[in-house]
Amino acid sequence: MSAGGVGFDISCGVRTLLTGLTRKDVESVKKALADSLYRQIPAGVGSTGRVHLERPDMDAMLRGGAQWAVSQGFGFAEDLNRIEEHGCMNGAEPERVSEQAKRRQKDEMGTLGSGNHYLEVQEVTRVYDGRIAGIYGLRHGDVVVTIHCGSRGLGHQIGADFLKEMVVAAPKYHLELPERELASAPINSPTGQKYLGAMRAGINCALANRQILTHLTRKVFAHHFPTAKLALLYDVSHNTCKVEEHLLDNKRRPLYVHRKGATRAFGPGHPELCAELRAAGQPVLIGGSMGTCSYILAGTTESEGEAFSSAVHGAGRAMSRHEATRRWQGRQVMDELAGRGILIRSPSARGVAEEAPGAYKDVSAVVEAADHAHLARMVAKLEPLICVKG
Amino acid sequence: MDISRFTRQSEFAWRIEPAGKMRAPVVIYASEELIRDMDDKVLEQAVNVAALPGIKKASFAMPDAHWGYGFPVGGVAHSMRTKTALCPRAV
Repeated sequence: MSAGGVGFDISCGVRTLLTGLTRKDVESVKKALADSLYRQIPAGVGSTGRVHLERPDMDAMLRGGAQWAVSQGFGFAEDLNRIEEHGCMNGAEPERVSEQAKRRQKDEMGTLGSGNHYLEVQEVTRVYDGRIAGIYGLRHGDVVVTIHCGSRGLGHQIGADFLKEMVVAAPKYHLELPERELASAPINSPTGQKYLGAMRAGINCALANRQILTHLTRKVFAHHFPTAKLALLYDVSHNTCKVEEHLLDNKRRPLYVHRKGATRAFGPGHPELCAELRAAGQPVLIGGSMGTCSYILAGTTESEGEAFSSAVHGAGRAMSRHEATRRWQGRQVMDELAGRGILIRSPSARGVAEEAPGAYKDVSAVVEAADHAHLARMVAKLEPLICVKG
Repeated sequence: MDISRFTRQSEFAWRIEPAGKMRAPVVIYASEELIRDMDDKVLEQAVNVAALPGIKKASFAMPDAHWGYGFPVGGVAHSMRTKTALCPRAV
């Protein structure tokens, strides 16, 4: 793996779809559903999709994000209310994205990718906050679909391109960096501005990607459950830098909030939230590791005074991928999970071993700590039925 | 991670005041068990982030924080517009 690509999945994020189905509905067709999702959702290293983008469509996608995807027939206009930035990150500048980054993305739209990215069919197994769960449309026993992925090759390439550029430019801007790996550039400098334009294009790429995957998922469900609608609950990223107004020294100021592996968690009443969600606060979608549980939390009012309305993003690795492959074999992990009624579909046995449940911290402990620290409030627990893994 | 260096700000928040090159404190949100289990690298990286120009309130780490390239995964930082830095590693 390219060192330059590590931790570089711009706008990697999670979205959850409400199916209106119950576990009983799904159980009778579970295997067939798992197989058709695996056939229709491209997954794995370098996986390619059915959407191929040449210029100028690539630039239109990078400018328009999920709004572009909807205009191309992927999903519905009402989905956009349930996506950060209404589905389109303003200020994206496709011309700041290198040709190499665009080339890498040309055939990768509508694909999950690898690593811990996945699509899961999950059951709501516990509700902690009935009022908020009601507003979110979540009931005990409901089945939801959660998609976790990001900006694929394009985002990684943007990261690699600008790391290099910022390391070279740092002395010019008289920036004393604590460590070379933290290569930075002043916001108002040409390098900083270029990066912002490119990174925002990367955010749109991730939003468009998850929107296309949603369309593919809906097609599969329509085949098995013709009346299921799969409404979008919410889509939120956990690798971004955004300009947001926050209280600092008793004054509201625009800040560049960097969240790397942290989920934005706006509290009730935030103007960015659509009318239906405003009373509850923003859904904070926390993906567990493969085969373990996931959680839905809600943003709190107190969170703004803590870490600028931010919360956790997942379980967090407890050991390296290498260590995990030493301890587990993919086949053995899959069989064990199948024994517990969880169907795994993946092109890579090694990938399954890398993502073995034991290679991650306990997501429940992580989420409970976030709740106790008032970063976000626990609403519901989800357990997997089917997992398509990259 | 050795927790003796932290002040316990609340049951689930641990703080280190700025020292040396740090421009802001480090705050890690976690239960005692989670922070004890955290890699020392998380603190080292959060301290480095606290030294970046433009940071004011704190360099934060979430309960799921772990080592990342340059910047911890599970890290939150901010910068003010005037004199600041923007870091691709932090995204």
